[in-house]
Amino acid sequence: MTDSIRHFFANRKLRDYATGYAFVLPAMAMYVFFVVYPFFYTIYLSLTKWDGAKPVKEFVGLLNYQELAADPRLWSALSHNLIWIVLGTLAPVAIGLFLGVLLWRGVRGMVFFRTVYFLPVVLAPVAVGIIWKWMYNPRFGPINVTLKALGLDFLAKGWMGDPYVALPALIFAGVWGYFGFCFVIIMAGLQNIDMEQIDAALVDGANGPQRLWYIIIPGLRHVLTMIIAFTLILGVNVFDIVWITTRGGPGRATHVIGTFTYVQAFRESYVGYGSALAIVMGTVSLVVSFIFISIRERGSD
Amino acid sequence: MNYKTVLRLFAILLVFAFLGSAAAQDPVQVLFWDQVYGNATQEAGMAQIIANFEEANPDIEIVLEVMAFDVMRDIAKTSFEAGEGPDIIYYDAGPAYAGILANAGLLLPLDAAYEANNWDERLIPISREWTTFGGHVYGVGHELEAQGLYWNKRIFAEEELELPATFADLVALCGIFRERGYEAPMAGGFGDPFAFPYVHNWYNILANYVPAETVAAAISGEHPWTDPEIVASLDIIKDQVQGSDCYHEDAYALGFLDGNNMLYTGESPMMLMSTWAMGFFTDEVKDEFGFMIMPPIEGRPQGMIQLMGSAWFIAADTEHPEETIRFLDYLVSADTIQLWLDAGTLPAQANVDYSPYEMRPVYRDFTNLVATWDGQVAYHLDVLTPANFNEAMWETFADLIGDRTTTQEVAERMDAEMQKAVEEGRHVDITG
Repeated sequence: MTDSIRHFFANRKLRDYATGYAFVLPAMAMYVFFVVYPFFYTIYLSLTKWDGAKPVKEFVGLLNYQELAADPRLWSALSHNLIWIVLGTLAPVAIGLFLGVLLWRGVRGMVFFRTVYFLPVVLAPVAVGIIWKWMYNPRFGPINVTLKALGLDFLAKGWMGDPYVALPALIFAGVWGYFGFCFVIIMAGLQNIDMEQIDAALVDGANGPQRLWYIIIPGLRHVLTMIIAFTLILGVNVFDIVWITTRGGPGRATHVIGTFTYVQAFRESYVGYGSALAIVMGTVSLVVSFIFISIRERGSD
Repeated sequence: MNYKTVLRLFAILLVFAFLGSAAAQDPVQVLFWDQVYGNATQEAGMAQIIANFEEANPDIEIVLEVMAFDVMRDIAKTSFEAGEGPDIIYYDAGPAYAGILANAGLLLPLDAAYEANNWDERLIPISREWTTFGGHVYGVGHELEAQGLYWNKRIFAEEELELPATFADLVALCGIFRERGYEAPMAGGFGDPFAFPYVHNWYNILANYVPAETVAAAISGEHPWTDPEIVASLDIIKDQVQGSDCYHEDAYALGFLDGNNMLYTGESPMMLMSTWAMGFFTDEVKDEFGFMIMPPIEGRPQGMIQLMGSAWFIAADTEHPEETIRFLDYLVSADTIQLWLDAGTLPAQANVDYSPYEMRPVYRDFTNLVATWDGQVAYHLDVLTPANFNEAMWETFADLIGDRTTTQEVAERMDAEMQKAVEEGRHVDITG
């Protein structure tokens, strides 16, 4: 034993490995405790019927998943997530790209603009939800007050109470809270664009949209891939802003899979069913990200 | 034995004496989770109650932690299950909330405490009825409430209008007020999650349209929610909200507090609401209000919904059951009545003569009503019905407001969820 230990400390390679693992171990322990263990425990719970309080969990196998497949509420929530993914990804990326290109070459007040655009990102999603709940207030919210002042009463609505308008209104609030992040990342990416290519394109007579499409966007492909993948996952996992404003209502009009999971697990005390929903949510996140990155990688080949 | 040994022994004795006396002097700490207060008066009232109790019981210290009721609902299960819950909690009664904790063995049965403290005599019957699960009583109720109609005395006097004698009169009154320029004759905001004021208004209609024993049977899973009479009551509330001139055109998008404010500020002369809204009548609210039970629907017996706000429950694993029960008993003692009234709540104590107590005139209307009511006593559903039933009810009512479903579909959905709850044993039987 003593010889083995002596051999270990004498071997520099082994020492380096040990040092590396020693540094990684605390973070790994946290990851296992807060991510890996809850993940597998959630899978276990998804195979049970449990109200969150009883000492005994009833094992039911895949029954929760079978019920989920036939539950119209799940498909309704997923459809809302899909809308959120599409609109909630396209809009902030497009806005961030537009503003980034606009301010890229330097304008007066650049620091001011960067700060103002990034401010909503600093706010917690809960704060964003509260702010927009007030903005959308039908009686004294600034949106309706302004519309009525401009003689556009017909556009003033009960935004959060109208089942046909509530989801787009929420997505708009979400985009407001997020586009600044896309803008800042894109601005950083734009610093790596080869200016000689831009100048050459200018000489060749390329206009703005052509330079954007053929030079800038390809030059930003890695940045855009990262932002879009990140935003896609956010669109699947969205919860805070919906919960603080509408709780998934009116009716089920704004329920996303996150809020539906929460209601099932914590409000209706169907913890097993809620766990199955959480697993579905995680799977959808993985699938969406994988599909996007695969398409992206194939396109760059 | 030499002097060093003696000194060591003496030092050890001193240490134990100090520890013992310190332990003897430290009061027992009872952790109390309460729901967040609506205003400073309520907060001060609870602080005074605790101070008075501690003065009379110097061996007990109440450690108060206050949180929003929905936060409490989220963390109560996991906290109690992990043994990290409070000794005493002010929590929602009924199968959807306390029932889950009780059925999991996380709450202390209070059968013996009820007998020892004579609570059945001192408290209203629903204190026991609503907190009984599996044959044992677990809680002590608080905040006796009713549902009815608030009316602004100043506006009615200025407009020279009489109070409605029937439900039809009430609806007609809405039209009269609207003609006289009141944008929202009835205060109300149904845009908050759960659309709950709208749902609560339906409970009022149900109480005045369907016999209480039929509703009790439906709550107990023994009668279908698709009963044509129940569906007809849904038609009435739908017509009253959407088909009449009673509410603001944006009522479906207004928050609950925004809706209530229309009454407090004098914009709306009337409001259908529980008496717990009296807690919002602070000094800033200048007008005086009256309170009456919703006028009867023609040909039907009038019903008064009686309910409790919540109830106090004790953790099964509390280390201080005797002290906690002592505190609980104090909370429902005569010493606390004036403080509760000052805070705008009516304690769930039985046979109280409120005439010597100070209170706003609108509270007096309510206490007189409770004391003299000999009509049908009806039910406030969501405290007595299971969680899945409640979620379905709130969801479908929001769809009803938005014309995305019919009253028949609402009834069918509620019935399906009640049957599911009965199969899973999540309901309560209140017919027995």
